Amino acid sequence: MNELGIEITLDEYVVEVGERITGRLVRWPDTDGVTEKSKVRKIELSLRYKTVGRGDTNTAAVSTQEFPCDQHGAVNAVISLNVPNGGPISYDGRLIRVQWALEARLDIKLARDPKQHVDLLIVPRNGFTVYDRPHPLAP
Amino acid sequence: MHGSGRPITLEPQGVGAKLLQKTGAPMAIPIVAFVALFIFGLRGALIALIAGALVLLVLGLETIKAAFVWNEARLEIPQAVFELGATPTVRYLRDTKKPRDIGRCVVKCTLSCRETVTYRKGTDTERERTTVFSATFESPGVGTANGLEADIPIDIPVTGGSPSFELANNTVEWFIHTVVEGEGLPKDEQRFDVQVVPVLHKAPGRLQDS
Repeated sequence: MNELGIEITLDEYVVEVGERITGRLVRWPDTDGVTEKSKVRKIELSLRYKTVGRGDTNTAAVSTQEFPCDQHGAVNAVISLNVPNGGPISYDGRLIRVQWALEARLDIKLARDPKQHVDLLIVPRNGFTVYDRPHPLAP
Repeated sequence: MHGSGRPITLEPQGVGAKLLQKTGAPMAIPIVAFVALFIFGLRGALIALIAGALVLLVLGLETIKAAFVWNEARLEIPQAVFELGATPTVRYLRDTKKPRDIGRCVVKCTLSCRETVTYRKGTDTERERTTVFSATFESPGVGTANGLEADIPIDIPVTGGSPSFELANNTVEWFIHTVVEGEGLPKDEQRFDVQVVPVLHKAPGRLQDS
């Protein structure tokens, strides 16, 4: 857990293209919900890639899921996000690196929306047992 | 597995070679110059000839020579896309315009993976490229009724570049350069673009070896 009060637990942190990311998202209540209602309206979870390196950054959210919070600001829900078939996969090249992460964004009423990231490794199909780091494999 | 099981025929990239082989550009230049002579006079004809010569020089002498004797090269690949770790066999095909004997020759295929990035620098957009993987495979070519043919086994590496992708400023592309070495054979090079997909070819023994 962190200062946002969000706990993201995934079944796997290495996921093949075309597969589904599954796990659980928990946010603990920040108010009692009776004398004071939480300002957190929802949590938006998105699967994103980002390029890093010499070129200008390309980033995109490929799959998103929304979790409405209750009046205490709490959530306890199942994560289920699709990884696209065509990639790009996690990659560590010479000019280009591709990084994948889950981004949780707290939607807070009349306030800046804080974010939290969980890094992931997206690997080729049939590569689940082969990869422990971004492509390419070691020679 | 991708593809329908029937081989896919690729055509070479590059406008120059296509223009020469499909339109007979070397023949067209004197004709254009002749027409220019009547319309614009001697000066017009000279300009047309010089412009034509410059175009041919840019396209390459070997390409020009090959265009007179040989049709455009083709590459047959077993499926539309390649998987990482696969060992497909590609077939190089080159038909002659007239029947001719094919002597001893070798067809070389260089498989390359290239990263290309673009970035803003002030008001300009800069582009940078680097080849992150390159390997050459070769096989003997054989003469056929139509011309020249060669089957070349190639390796798609798991230790090389990323599978193909194209984003606005970051691209990874794969291509095969072919060249034929032998007496009386075309010396021009062709480039064929291929797609590598993020799928590991199912050959566990092979992966353990790497």
